[in-house]
Amino acid sequence: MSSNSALQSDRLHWAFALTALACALLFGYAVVVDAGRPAQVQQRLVPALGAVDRCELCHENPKHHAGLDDAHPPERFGCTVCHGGQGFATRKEAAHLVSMDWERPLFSPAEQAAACGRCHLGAQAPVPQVAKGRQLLADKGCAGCHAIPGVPRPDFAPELDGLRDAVSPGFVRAWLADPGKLQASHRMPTFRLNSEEIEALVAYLWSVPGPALAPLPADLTGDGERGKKAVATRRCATCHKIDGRGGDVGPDLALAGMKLQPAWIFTLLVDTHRLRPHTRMPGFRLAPQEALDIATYAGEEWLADSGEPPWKAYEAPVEPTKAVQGKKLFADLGCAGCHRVAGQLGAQIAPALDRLGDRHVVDLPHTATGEALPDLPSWVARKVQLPTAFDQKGGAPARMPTLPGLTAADALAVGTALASLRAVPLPATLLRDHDPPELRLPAGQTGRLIDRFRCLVCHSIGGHGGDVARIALDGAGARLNRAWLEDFLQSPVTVRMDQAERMPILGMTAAEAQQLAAWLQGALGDDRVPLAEPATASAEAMSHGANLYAQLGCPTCHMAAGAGTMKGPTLDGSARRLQPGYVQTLLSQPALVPANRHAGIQLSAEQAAAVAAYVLGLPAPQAP
Amino acid sequence: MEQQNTSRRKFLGQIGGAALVALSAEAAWASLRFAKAPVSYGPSQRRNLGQVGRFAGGRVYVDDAGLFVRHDPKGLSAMSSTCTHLGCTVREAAGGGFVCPCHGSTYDDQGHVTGGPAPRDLSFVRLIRDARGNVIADLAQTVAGDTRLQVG
Amino acid sequence: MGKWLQGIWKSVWRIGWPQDERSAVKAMLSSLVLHVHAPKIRPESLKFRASWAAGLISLVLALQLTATGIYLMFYYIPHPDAAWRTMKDLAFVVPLGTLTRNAHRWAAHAMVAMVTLHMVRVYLVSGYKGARQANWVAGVGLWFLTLALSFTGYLLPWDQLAYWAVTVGSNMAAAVPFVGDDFRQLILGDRSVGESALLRFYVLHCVALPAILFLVVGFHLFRVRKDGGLVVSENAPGGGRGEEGHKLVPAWPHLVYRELIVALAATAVLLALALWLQAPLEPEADPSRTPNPAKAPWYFLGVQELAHYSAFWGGVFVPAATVLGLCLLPYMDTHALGVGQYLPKERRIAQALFGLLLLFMAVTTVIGTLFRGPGWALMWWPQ
Repeated sequence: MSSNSALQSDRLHWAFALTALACALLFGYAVVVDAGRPAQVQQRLVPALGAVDRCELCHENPKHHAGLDDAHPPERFGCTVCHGGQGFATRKEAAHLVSMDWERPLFSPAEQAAACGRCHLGAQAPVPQVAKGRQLLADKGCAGCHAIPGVPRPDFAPELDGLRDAVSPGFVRAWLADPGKLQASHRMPTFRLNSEEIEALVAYLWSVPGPALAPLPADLTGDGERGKKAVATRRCATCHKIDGRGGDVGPDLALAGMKLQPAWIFTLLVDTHRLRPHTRMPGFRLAPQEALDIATYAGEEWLADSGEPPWKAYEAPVEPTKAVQGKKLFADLGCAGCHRVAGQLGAQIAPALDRLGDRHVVDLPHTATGEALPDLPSWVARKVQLPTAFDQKGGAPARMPTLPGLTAADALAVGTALASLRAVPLPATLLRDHDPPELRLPAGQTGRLIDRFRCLVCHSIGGHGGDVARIALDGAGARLNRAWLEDFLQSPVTVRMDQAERMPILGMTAAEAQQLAAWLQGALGDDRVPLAEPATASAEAMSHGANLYAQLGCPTCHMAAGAGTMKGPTLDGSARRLQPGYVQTLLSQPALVPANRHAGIQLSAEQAAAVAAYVLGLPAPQAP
Repeated sequence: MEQQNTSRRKFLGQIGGAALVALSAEAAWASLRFAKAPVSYGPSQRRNLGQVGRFAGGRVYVDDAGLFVRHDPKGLSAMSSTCTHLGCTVREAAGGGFVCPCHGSTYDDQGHVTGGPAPRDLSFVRLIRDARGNVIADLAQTVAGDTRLQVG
Repeated sequence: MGKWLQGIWKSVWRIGWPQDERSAVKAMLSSLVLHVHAPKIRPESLKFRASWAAGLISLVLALQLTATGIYLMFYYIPHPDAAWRTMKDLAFVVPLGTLTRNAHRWAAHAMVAMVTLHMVRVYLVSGYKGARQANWVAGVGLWFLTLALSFTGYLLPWDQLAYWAVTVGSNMAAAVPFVGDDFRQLILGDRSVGESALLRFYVLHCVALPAILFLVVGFHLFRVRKDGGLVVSENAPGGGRGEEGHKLVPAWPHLVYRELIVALAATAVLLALALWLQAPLEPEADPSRTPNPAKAPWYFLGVQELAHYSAFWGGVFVPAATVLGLCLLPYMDTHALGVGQYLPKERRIAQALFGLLLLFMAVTTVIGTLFRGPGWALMWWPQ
């Protein structure tokens, strides 16, 4: 190295030694620091879900909820699809928390439920939070304004054609200002309108013509007393509240009676579906006299004590010049999203929510108060409970209306259901649609009758329809005799005394009843029920059946031969109502009709035959 | 004085040189460590072969696992189709037994070498059953040729 | 034994360890690598002020980038489904993966800065005049290649930062009149940034551009030596064209030793940066989620700032005119006054103009980087 002596300076030698040492030490330090990395990493690879999960580095033998393990093995699902977090990470904080390069930390319970909802579709998904949320999305009419996959457009808001013939402008003003003041359990949300906006909307609505009202028959006079009786015998209370009692399928008759013009009520009763084609009310067959009686009754009965309706203060002439402004407002507010005008629903004016679950709570607007919202479901919950919570000073106010009767738990369920809507598609093999398959109703005369009498508002078939009638129509053809059905449809007797809801007297003709009974019998069978001949049992078998009937405690619920209670249907003369094959099958397979409370009663085939023979042998009661 | 300078400079030079040697060694070691992948994205060594009923027909070849699965009265066994010479996949020979297409090694029906360059008999891998009754082959574990998975 | 080892040494290096000036000259001439230097050089060119070591550091960084880049290629998969995942593997499981990626990222930024600095220095001392005209143009080419390498590498992590920076950058190219859209499709291989673009950028970044770069670097270094080494002032002792009789020093060990020290220092700084400064990574690229604002890499933000005013004038014309002007410079500014001096009297106007250009670039870049918020709105507080 003697030639280095040519470098007549120590500085360069020092610099060389120090820089070389610095490199060696820094690199050595890097190698030592890095040695903390796991040498071998086992990972769960699920390419279809994009999962590269290294959770088991720390979580040995990952525990699963009992019952989920079989259907959701980690080999098939990995961890992060359901639990969130960063599967790649090999350090706890990187795996569990949010970071610059990872936006989905470990899921909160609500987010986990939402993750279940990505595969489990439908309002009957076996994930309580998500199912409840989806039900609420439908019930609250969210799809009036937002496009939401799997949630149908609402069909419960009244059509608004010819509103001027039905109610007074004062009622509409009072309703728009605060529907809750007029009806505690209303469904329409509050739009926070000022009086000028309300005036414009009324002007527009008053400009929309409706179907012509039926002329009041000049030769008849209505009788309120007869009308009151008709309302009772026709069983209007099955759907409407009367004096605070009754169903809630239709509006409370107290409010309806007070707000509606008698001529409009008369038209609705005699020509229901011409006046309101999309109403849920069946087309009763009423004589003009009966309709006039009911309209008269409605006008007399529900006048306020003061003689003045609560919207009296709002009564004033409509200003037709504001109709143009009102029409624009009607469109801007999205009123037509729920209310049909001229038979048409309007566009969904609010953002589609089909990929809301992809949003990250950090990217979404903050509340005006700066409140910290931990996850997306909570953010949505805040928004649906208090739409104005995110209004910023000087910014445009929220357009979303305030929904009535939404608890904090409801709001979180809605948020959870919406958070399950992600754009990234999961493999089709993992998806489970828990909604019932589409219902195909018969066309032709039968279809028109089902529509006219609005059967599916109360009854359900294949999971579609209402739940006013407790037992679904599925399998009704295997349970009931056709002759009994024909009679029942024409003049429904009460089978289940314990139920408040009873089949209204629709006034079906014999031909209509035959048509529907034939369809019920032919189309709604049940594979589990054999077709059996009416039993002709020996006296011995009959007495064995009678003994068993008593021993099993049947009279605890059923009335027969003058003994028992009315909790279940009366069994005297049931041979006319029930098919023998059905009675036998039900007694040995109580799950046949889950809703009829026979669970726990499971007889052997021989016992079932004996009891069925006894029950079907009970004579019909003597007509008084 | 000059002597002192020279020896100090020589010493500093040696320190720097030694540091460079150390740096090279570290770099070589780090390169080896870097290159050894600690995770595998390849297919899992545990293969699900499906339900037992699938193997009722005596010997079945499961091609995605490369296994000849035999169901005899004593139970199930799984023989690898990988030739013990250089790892080609053997075929069933026309007259029974197996033959390797690469260098002509031959094996009898039990996987014993009968000819060619193969140094060992064909290997057998461990079979287990999971909770749902599926037969799982663990390609990473070899077992003796007479090992059987008892099936009901 | 010692003799035998010496024999092996000589068989490789042809000569022994240089013992005197004569053998030092021989060593310089007989080594493939070292003979890029003249065997004897002017002592002024050893001074820091003569070079700022900017060119050397640029070369050292290029070599470090090559080394770390090769390591990264062992794990990187140029496909949208896998690219970002490999970043995660480097971060979490590959031994020294973090260090390697950090080093590559910071060396890339540093190289853009050092090459630019090198060019500024050469301009100031009129290093583009006389015989050096073509080498200046080669240098401008290297500057351009460095930017292209940095830009193509920017896409490879396939995170939001990468995806949107390249989307914005490639859309600037679309502002070229008449052929802009075709040009953009040529780069991307598709109408938008996707798997074709990723593969093209990968091949350009790992094969095509480095190959061209090192060929041009070879030419550049060769010409530095042939054109008389570093530019030194005519007024410096022994300056100018190296007349007979003035004292030259052997490159070994004076230059070689200094270069080694600079390379080691640069390596140490890079190691320290890579150890304690994490290379950024953002969430995986998502074409449906545009970050606001979407920004190009910092060295293009001056251009993006200009493009904000006019896509053509700011995004195409000004950069093209700048590069063209830099290439034509040595053929337009040919008088030989003030060569080798940083602030000669004779070049006040030229230096002032250049200073203004630099200031303009710096100001627009700083505005684009720090003072532009969501919607490219001006923000008075840096982000």
